[in-house]
Amino acid sequence: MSFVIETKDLTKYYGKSRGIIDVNLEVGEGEIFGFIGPNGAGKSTTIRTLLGLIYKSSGSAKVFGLDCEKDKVRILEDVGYLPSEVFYYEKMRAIDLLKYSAGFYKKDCSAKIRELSEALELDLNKKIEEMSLGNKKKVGIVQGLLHSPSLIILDEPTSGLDPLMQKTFFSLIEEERKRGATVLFSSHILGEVQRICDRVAIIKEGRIIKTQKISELRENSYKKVSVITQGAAPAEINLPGVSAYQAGDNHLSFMYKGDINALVSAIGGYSLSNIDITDPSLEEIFLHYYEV
Amino acid sequence: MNIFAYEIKSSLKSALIWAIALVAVLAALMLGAYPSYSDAKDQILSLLSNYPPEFLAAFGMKSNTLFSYGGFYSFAFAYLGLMGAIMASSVSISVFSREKRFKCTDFLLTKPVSRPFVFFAKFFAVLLVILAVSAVYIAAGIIFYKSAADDSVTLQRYFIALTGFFFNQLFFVGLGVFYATFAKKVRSVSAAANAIGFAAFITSALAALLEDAKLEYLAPPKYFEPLTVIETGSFDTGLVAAAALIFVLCVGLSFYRYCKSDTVAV
Amino acid sequence: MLRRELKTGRRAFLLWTFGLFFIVVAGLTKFTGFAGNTEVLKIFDDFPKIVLAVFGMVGVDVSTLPGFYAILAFYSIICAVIYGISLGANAVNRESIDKTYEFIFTKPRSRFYVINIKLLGGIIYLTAFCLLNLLFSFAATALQGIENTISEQMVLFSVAMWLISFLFFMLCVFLSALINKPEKGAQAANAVFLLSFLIGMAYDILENAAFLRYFAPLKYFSYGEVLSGTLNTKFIIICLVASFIFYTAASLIFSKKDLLD
Repeated sequence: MSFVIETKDLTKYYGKSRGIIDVNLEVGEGEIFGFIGPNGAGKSTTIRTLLGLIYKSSGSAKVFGLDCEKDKVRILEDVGYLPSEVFYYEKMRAIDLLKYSAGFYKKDCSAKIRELSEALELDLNKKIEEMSLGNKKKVGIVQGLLHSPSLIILDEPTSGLDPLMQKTFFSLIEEERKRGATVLFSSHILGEVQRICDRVAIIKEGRIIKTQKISELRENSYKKVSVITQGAAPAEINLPGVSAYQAGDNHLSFMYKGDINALVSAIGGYSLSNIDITDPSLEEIFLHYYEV
Repeated sequence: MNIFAYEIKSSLKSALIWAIALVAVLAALMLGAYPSYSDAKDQILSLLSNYPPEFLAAFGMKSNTLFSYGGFYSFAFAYLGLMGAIMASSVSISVFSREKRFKCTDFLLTKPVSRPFVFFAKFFAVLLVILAVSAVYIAAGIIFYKSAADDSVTLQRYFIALTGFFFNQLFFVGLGVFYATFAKKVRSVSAAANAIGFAAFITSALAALLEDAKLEYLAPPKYFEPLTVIETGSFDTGLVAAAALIFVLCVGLSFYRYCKSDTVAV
Repeated sequence: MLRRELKTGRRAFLLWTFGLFFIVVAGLTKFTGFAGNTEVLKIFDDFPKIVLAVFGMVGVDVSTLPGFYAILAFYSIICAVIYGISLGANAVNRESIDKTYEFIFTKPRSRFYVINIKLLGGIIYLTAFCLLNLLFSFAATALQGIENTISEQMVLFSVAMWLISFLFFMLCVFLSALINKPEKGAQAANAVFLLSFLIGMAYDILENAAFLRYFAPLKYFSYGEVLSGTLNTKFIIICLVASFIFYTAASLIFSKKDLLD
């Protein structure tokens, strides 16, 4: 099977400081591949190496079976990129920037520009310097998708978008995938990766520590449970799958992995004033799930 | 073609203003001021003829060339060359630092174009802009020559002297590209261009004041000194070689850096 | 806060000081090579201004120490003015260009206070620059073993340097405050300087152009006047009053304007 993205022991040092170490990624065609890790873990370094913006120290990186450094131009013909922070030539209007951008590809992108900006409700005649962060981000999205690339690389794309726009954004990405595009989606928010991705790689301190199908992750997935009780909180809960149990005067919290029904009936035995069952943050995942 | 056209378009307005300013100053000096200078010539020549030639040499007046049309142009070039230098630096710094200033290097370099291609597209855009402005300048120079010059300098020599303006600009393009590529941050294009231009002006004025031939190698406007052409018919080979060497070095190093360096994430 | 301002400007200051050092010290070191012959200078009094300008002798004899120093001082002043403009632009616009203005202007200090601290930082550097000019001048003559007959004039030149560069500093502050786009203010100030430099040249070559002098601050304090031991009072006043007007206008505009990217 050929992969759209394939890295082998990809390593990047910035002088002496660590970028990424021995990163091995294999992203198949048509996949939405999540890439998660805390700030500074090496997500952007990996992405920027794939895009030929920075040069690897050792290992290999291939996109469409082509070398990321030697065949950069051919790769980029068919790649769309949305950076986490968008900056453009400020004096231009959005439409001028998008036309400039489209001019780099050997196809007519005007229909797609119209379609995307309508979906995002973006005013194309506005100057970029006058735009809010969210609107700049929209320009970035259109800019990354306008040439219908077969690989879309998104680096923390949802920051700056309101929830409604995030929803629109995800449906745009879904459509691109239906068209046959592969997506590499980097994020530090587990929830949004779970929402859209097929597989996910977790990166920590420059190394990939786990690559996993989302469905597996979900099966194994922990929930974080916080409860405020009426009266004193119990010192322990007798339920298999509970870990990191902490209790105070009238509140308790723990991580839970297992049957949700069992959890609900166990907690149901207490008289409660509040309950939160949430996805654990990445940090908590790292602490409780991938430790050892 | 895309980048090339974009950079040309971005530089068009300022190039136009510069061309007008340059031609205006050239006209003011070579059409407006020269006749009164020329009128003073006879009076002064007769005054000076009472003194021995050694005396004139002591004041740096080598010969009659200084009183000629070409000699006066050499004086004018100190200012026009300065303007040309500031313009060339500002265009090249502006073009080559554009992505740095707007923090959008990622945007340009994730397009399907190689970095050498981007570099040369920008480089040729700058080249075309200064070529066009220099052409206007040289054409104006020739027109003014036809209407005001005396017969002390042939059109051919004067034309070569005028082309020095272009080569002077070209040299500053080299410096500008170098600065824009190697500077970590470019806050103000105009400040950098003014500093480069005036630094060169001051060095070349110092070289003249101190009559130091070695200092001329550090003084870019001296590389293509019009007076040399007017007296000998060509530029000083040594100085031109120095200019060419520095230019190639600047552009070569910048090219290497532009193509090989990791781009900085914002 | 002032200390932080001074710290950000340190590297630029060293760079500019190096340039100044080059002009003053390298220039004065070379001076010994000249043979003086002052008597014949008188014939130049009859020359039209344009001829003297082309010959590079605007009212001074470069074969003497005072005349030579006056020329060097002219270049040092150009240096100071360009430095002053960049200090002014940095004081007003640096935070906008670096996109850190939200950080600084949301601190519990009035904008007036913040901008004044920034201006103070610029003025300290500019003043230090002028003092160094004086120091370099004294040191270079002492090192060369030249008898320094013009220490008083050297002081005057440094004062002139301060007045002129201060004027451009405030002009740039004013223009940067007035024009809402960060780079445009500096650009305008630099253009004004280049223009005034060319006007100065025109003043040098035209016979009856006294009025041009008002538009050419570089010519406010002519070599001849300074060497004879005076600074032109009228132009001292013009410098100070204009600087004050620019400062007041800039403060008013800056306190009221919208801070944008």
